[in-house]
Amino acid sequence: MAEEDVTLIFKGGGSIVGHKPIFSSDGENVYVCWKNKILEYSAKTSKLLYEYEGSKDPIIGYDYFLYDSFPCLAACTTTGKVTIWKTVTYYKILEKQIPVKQIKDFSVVAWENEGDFKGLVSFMYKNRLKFTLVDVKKCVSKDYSFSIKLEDQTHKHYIGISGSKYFSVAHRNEVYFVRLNDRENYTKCKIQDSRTFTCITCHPSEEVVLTGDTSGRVVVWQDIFSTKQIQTVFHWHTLPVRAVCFSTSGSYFYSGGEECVLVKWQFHDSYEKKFLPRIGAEIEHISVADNNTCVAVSTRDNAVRILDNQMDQIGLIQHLVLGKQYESGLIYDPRTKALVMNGNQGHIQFYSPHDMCLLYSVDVVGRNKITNERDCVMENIEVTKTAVSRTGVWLATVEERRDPVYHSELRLKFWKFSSEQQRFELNTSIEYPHDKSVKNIQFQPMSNDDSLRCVTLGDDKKFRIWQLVDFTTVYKTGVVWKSFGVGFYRDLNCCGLSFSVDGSLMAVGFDKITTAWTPDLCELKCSLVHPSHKEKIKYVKFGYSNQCHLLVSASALQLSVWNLLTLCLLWTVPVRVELLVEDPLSTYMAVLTSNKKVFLFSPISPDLVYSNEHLLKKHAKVIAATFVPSKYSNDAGLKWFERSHLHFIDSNNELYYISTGSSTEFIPDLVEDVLENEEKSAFGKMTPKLHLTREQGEPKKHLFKKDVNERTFKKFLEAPIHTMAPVRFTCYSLLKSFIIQKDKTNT
Amino acid sequence: MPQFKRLNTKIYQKSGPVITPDYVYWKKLGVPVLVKEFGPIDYIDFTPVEPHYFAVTCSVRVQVYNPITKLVVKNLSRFRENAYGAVFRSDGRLICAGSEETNIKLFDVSTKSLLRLFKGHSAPVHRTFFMHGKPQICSFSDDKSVKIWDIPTEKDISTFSSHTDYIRAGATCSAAPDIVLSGGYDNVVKMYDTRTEKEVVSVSHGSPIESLLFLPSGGIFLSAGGTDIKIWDAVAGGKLLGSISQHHKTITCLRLASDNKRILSGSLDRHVKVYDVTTFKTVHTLDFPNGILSLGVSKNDDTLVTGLVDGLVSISRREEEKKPEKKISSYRFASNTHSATLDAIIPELAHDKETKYDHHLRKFEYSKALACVLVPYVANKNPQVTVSVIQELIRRKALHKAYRGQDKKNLMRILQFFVRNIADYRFTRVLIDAANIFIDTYEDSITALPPEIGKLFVDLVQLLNQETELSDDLAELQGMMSMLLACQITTEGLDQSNVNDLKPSADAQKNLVVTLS
Repeated sequence: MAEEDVTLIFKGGGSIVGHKPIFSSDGENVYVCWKNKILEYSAKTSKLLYEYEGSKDPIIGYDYFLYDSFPCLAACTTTGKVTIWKTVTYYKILEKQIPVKQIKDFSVVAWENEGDFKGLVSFMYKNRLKFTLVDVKKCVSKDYSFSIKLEDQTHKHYIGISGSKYFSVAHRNEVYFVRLNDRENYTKCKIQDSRTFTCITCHPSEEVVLTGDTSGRVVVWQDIFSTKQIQTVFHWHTLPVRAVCFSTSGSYFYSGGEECVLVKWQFHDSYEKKFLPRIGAEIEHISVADNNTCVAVSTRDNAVRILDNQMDQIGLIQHLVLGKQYESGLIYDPRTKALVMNGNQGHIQFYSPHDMCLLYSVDVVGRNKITNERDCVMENIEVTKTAVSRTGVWLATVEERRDPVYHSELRLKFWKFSSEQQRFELNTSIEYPHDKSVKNIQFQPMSNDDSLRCVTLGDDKKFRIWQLVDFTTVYKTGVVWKSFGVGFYRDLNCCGLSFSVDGSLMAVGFDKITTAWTPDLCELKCSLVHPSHKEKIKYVKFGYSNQCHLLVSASALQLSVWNLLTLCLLWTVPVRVELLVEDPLSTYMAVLTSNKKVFLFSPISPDLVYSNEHLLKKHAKVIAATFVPSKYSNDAGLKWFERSHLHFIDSNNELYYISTGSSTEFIPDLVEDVLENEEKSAFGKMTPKLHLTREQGEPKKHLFKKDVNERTFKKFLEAPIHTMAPVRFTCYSLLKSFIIQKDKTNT
Repeated sequence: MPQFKRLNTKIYQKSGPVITPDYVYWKKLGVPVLVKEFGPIDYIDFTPVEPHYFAVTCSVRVQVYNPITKLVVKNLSRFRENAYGAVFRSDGRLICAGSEETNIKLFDVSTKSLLRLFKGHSAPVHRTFFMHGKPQICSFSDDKSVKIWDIPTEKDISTFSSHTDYIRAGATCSAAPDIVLSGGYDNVVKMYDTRTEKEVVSVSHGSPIESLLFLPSGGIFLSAGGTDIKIWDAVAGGKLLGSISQHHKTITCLRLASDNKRILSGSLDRHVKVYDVTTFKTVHTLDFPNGILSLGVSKNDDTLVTGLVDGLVSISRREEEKKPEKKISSYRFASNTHSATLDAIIPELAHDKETKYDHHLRKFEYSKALACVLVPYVANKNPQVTVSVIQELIRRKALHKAYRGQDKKNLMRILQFFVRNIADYRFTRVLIDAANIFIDTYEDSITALPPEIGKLFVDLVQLLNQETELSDDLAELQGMMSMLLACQITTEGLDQSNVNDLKPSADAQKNLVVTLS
């Protein structure tokens, strides 16, 4: 594997709540769309059952329907490729390219006569949204005459479809009703300009349409194909309604929005409603199983919550939580080998990149989430910084509520992992550890946890050392965190914090000056500055192993390395550092620049180990990055990208790492060919259509080859000298043993 | 659906004394009943049998009290001069007491009759004890001798006279019935074995010994004298295990309590301290109106009696806990009629008990939430609750709405609350915000408010001026102190540089070793 092959490998993230979840007809399974895949989950256990993978392009619409009297799943990608899978066998039974460009939406029209497969497709044509009915099998489409003008992308449009009868489209403050078999005529209605539609759904059998709008109203439209539609208003929400959904028979419906409350309405009585408050995040989609036993609610935290008909949560399908921010960065937890990052509001999540699953979340703030009110944005408490001790037993979190008008809240919490309870338990909570917000937090890298220290860097131009002290009384034994000391330097702003490998020294950047301190005494050891460097230091990092005397400091324009033994500048290069990340296993450090370049270097020399200017070029902005030791981290012979992986999260909330090879191995599709089926016998079907022959590569070479006769030779050498036979007797046999060894390796 | 998370009011809790189990336990002792006696209370002893009468020795009599009625049950007054150290036998039937008149007297408790009179000491006897499991008494006298007496024959069996000053403390142990401890004003504790009639251990306490205590195992004994309690290992030949110095005046008495898990010590500094037996750490302190001379605790710690210097006996009794039995008022609505064969059973929704303010906050009833924490009981007793609710309302940007919903009485209360608590460092940040919001809310209609509110505003302004002055003063002081501290650091640095200037001495220079490798 050469370095030229180094690419990005997807490791999680991405929204699963972009599309509505869909239930199978028996309500046992629920289908969720994730990027270019459709995932099948069990509704009862919320376990992943199967992944339908078709193309590389993201899926734009998918549906579950009966095709040839088999339950099937159809999906359409942005490029217009439509694929149908049989859900019983997971076989792909059809793949077609439909002749429509710039597809916006796709939904299956349940036609009366089986075997027919038509889809309603909307597409962009000269700034107008047009609709067409596509017969997928024959690849012919028939356009509807009506279209909507989309001037700007600020207003989304919403489409609802009812069986094979009609569909309705809502855009801005207008709603359109169109019969599927009538291509010429449509009816339309307008509401006040101040309101904008936010969702739409159609009654499964009647000519009734539900819409939600920005003012929080749910409007029921009846008599839709007359010139004067009847409106009924169901108003409880104060914020925009994000989703509405009819029950199977349509006697009641659900609505949800940004209040994080699911409301169950009786269709005939707007006063009778049931609530499910405090759902983890804002509701994006609601869907109901055909037999009304389950309700799936997609929430903005990248989760699908499955509720039973009593509105009790029975299942949770949770992917990497997409928080609003990743301020606390990516942190590697050595105990669970997981990445720690911001999750839901006030939570941190532990995400394992190896098996791409969310391990658990820790509720750090322990507060009710305050949802916005109309014209009033609420500031919730957010976790802004986290740190994990080297043993993984201690977790430190900083939470902050940035109030724009009044006093902000700031709290430092120390959590201890309880091995009995198998969870983090709050040990110490400190109000206002600094006068202003905390910029950085790190534990002293000690392998034992007694008298552990932790350092916080504040916006109040000070750093503070916290120490674990014994707190044993007659009643209980315990430990507690206390402030040990405060350090400051010439009233300068501090930024950048790093501990040396053994934890005996720490470096803090003060404005343009790099300083070194002893954390055990809180004493200044030295301060380093180059007269020509005028920028504020952003990062300081100590070297590793034999370069532990080197200190790397990075500012917005420079990267320089200091030798702490001689106190002189070793080298400096001008580079616009955005992120500086160190590998915990080797001397390497990675720099991500503001113009999306990646550099890898060793502090001992300014020569680059690796550089790539194109790797991230087309990628979204990298927000946080860290090295994670790979499975083969003990093998020192591996290359940097094999031994530990540079993981990063980008502004699209997707997690990647840099390495070679591809995790997305090509799995041949299970294709059921109807024609061939008849010719082949039952055994014939078992032979794979596609044969894969993978060349046997050269076996991996290790640093040293295991010596076959090493043991006997060692035994010979280790024997006490007075018990040995004279050398002249042993010489022959010894030499012979070497010959045999050579023979063995040759064969 | 996650539960509504309750408001965390602990953030603003006062970081005062931690409420420990011992604190709760000893706080249950009720208000003491004071009984006036003549002269200082020399000794208090509880009978180990029910109903735990106690004998109080003071001036010329020994009085036996009933701990429940706090009245004298028996009065043993057959002393011409002061009586000392009356103790019960382990069955509670006999009392023996020393006296100023050098004799030791043995009484029957029920008939109050004098049974024996032991003569032989030549000076007052301050402490007497029954020997465990033997018909014997030991006595500790000011004639510097310890005597063991046989009760049936009224004879002196053995005498130890190795002390050089008055003996005012002694102890026997039920685990080692042949061992007697004595402590004298010569600062020495001596241990005697009555079988060999020899002194076994002798240790020096360092100050005149007022009280001795054997731990029930018999291996460890404590001596109290001066302001120290010293712990000695009897088995290791009098090894000093530790020392407790928690009092600042002479310790006069030691007792075991709580089923031998706690030690009590009384002192002239008016405190009784409670120690944990295993760690000898103080777990609680009881205060009394005057110096304590003697101390007694009944079994199960039901009654604590202290004798004070001014002749008062303070009797405090543990209040009986009565658990109110919950009556089931009606069986009509008891729901246990569901059979398990139904399709689906929907369990009854069990709501957690929630406080009033949590209920209102959950229902978004902000004015009511604020009103229910402005009630004087909450605002005065638990200001941290009020502040937490105010903070939550600020967080929800609803405080101005909540103010609007208050009547005049509550507005007064809000301002009174500000005046009372804004100077408390725990609440300052929140209350400054709250006061600002208050002013913002009523800025335009300030004239419509009653004049009392204006008066409270004036008070608030005055208070804030005082506070700013105070913090200016404190900032000045801090500046001075940090200057002093900065000076200290520089001198330390100089010292270190001197150490680095060390030059090798002549011997060191000669001591040359060449290593070849």
